[in-house]
Amino acid sequence: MVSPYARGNLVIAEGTEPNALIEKGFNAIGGISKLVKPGATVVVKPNFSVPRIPAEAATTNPLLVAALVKQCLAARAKEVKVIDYPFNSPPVCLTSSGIKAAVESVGGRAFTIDEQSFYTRVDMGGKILKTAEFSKDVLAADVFINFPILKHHSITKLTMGLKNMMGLVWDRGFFHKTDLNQAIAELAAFRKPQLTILDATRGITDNGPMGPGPIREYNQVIFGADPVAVDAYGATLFGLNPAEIDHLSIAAELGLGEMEMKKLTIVKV
Amino acid sequence: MKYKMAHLLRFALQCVSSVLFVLLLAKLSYPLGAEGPIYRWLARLDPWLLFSQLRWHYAVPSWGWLPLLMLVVTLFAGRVFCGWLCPFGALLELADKASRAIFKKRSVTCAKVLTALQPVRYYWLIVLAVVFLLGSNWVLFLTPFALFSHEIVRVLQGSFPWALIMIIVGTLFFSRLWCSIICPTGVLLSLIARKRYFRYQITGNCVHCEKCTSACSVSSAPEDSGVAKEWCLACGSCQQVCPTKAISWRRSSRQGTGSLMALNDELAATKSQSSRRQFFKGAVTVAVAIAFWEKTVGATKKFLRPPGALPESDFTAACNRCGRCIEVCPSKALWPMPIAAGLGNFETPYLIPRKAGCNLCMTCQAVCPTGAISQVFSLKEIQIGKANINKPRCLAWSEKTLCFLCGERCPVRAIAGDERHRPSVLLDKCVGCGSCENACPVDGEAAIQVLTI
Repeated sequence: MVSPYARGNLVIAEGTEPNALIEKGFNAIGGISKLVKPGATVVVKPNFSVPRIPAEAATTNPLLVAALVKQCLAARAKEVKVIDYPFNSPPVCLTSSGIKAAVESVGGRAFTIDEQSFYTRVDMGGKILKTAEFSKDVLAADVFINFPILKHHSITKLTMGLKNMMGLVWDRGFFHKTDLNQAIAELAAFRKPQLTILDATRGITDNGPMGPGPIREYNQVIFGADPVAVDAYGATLFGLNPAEIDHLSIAAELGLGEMEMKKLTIVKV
Repeated sequence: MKYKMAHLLRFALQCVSSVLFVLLLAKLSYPLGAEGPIYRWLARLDPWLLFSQLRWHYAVPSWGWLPLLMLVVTLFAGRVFCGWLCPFGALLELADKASRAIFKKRSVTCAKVLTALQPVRYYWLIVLAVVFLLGSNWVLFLTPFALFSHEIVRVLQGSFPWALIMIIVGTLFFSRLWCSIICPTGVLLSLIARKRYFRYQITGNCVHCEKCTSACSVSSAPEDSGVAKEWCLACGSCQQVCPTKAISWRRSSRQGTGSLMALNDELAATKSQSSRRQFFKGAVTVAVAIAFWEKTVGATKKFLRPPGALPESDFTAACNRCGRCIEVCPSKALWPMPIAAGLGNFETPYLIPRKAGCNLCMTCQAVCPTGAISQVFSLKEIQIGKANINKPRCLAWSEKTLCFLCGERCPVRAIAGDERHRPSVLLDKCVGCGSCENACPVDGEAAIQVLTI
């Protein structure tokens, strides 16, 4: 699946109003109609894996997700599914994150993929990640948009787009048992989203991924077709050198994307 | 006409209460809607719940007026709770009516058995009271709201409702034997109803056709003594079947009818004659009750209980096994204890972290009618257990793997990692939710386990 947007481009939408952020971001990157064709099935993968409320800034902002769903439906998508496989109780995470209420209010469908029947075993072709049970919804989607939040992570320093993909795998314990950073990079190579939108409006800067923790406001939303580039920008925003994020370096080495800020065209809107 | 309206009203109330009760349980889910508070208030109609609060919380709850009101109503008009409001009673009445329609001959033997068993009632009440006071709680389990709730939850959880089916089968043969002799609430209200103000009594020309006797589902018809007995459910069946319209709902008068006076005299005579025998029976009953209690008291071993649960011995005593915490838990973390854990623990909720961890959403506290899972307002008050790391099994400690999944999942930041992300538990922060044990990727037994305190 190839993204219609230029890989070297990153669009940074700045502000605080969710609808405006999503709208101007899409306008700058090339318009949503280039990505979402009429009748398309869209899968959005935010991060609502922890039982926290939006104010605690440990889950993707539900209003941003709703704004995206609205845009997709306006582009005449057949269906918009918003999914995650939370760490904890699915009803609690769906409710506390505000995702379910926000998505349903604009006509999308938010649910958790917390049963094995949502997955199918696929060849990953990695060095350690040879096969994995991956989300059927994502495999069947016409458009797959990864929508992580930028926040602290106790093991991988940060969690953004690449780490967010772990929520599409049934047996995540395998990642932790083997080599977490290598496995994350190899997973990213398997199925790239056509678009990554990084919610960097607010996020915890410590005690991640569970929180609660100190919150920093960046008031930015990053749009990019290159998942590594989006994460690399996020790391810089957080105050880290992208090369310090192990799974990001491995992904760049695997040729999944560009980690060097200098080589990217960054447009702020 | 007036009586017809009353029967209609009773029928409507029974339908509403039983349908509402089942719906409230079927709908029970996270996030909790109106079904939570509605059920809580419904359950508070039962005076046993008030006694439970007094016994284990040593305090009069703010809703105490409701069960007291129920007692006052009983003092006024007898067991209207049982005959008009109780959802379980409504179901059993339905079973009884169906049985009467099918087995036309049944009522004669049924009435005989019912009558023969009536004297057991207050000895049973003594057993219940002694066991209850000593602190074992299958007494509350037998009350209608707990038992019916427990059985519906069993069905919703995919188990077979043994108790419900057995009681219904019993009802098919012996009418509302459960309601009149076994149900703790029914027996208690019978005792109160001895002094009731209004009752069914013979005021007209009784032809002793015994139709009321065979129609009565609890063997309390006024045919032999002139007044309905104290365990009358105020259902009005006797009045409906009476061919001479001799039975009416009247206040009891001190003068009474001739037959009532005779009965009182007879009772008084019996009392003085057999007081020694009664004392002996009472003593045996208390002894039996204590033996029962010893068999059913749990608390010898500790288990992982829901967040906010009372200390173990109080918890098993206060919990009425209604099963609502198990049904509502959005994490599916609570399970009913098997019979192998002993009668005192049987069907009480406990946590199996390896199957699912507690999310600390506290919904179990919000649905618990007894306060066995008490409401807490700070995480500091929660002590389900404490996590403990088995270092030889832990990947980070034994194989230097970058795992730390337990730390990632801990909702209260009670797991600290060193420079190599090797976990250790901060005991002062750990609440024992089991998220770590659930997440541990080690095959089989987790390398981090929640232990009871």
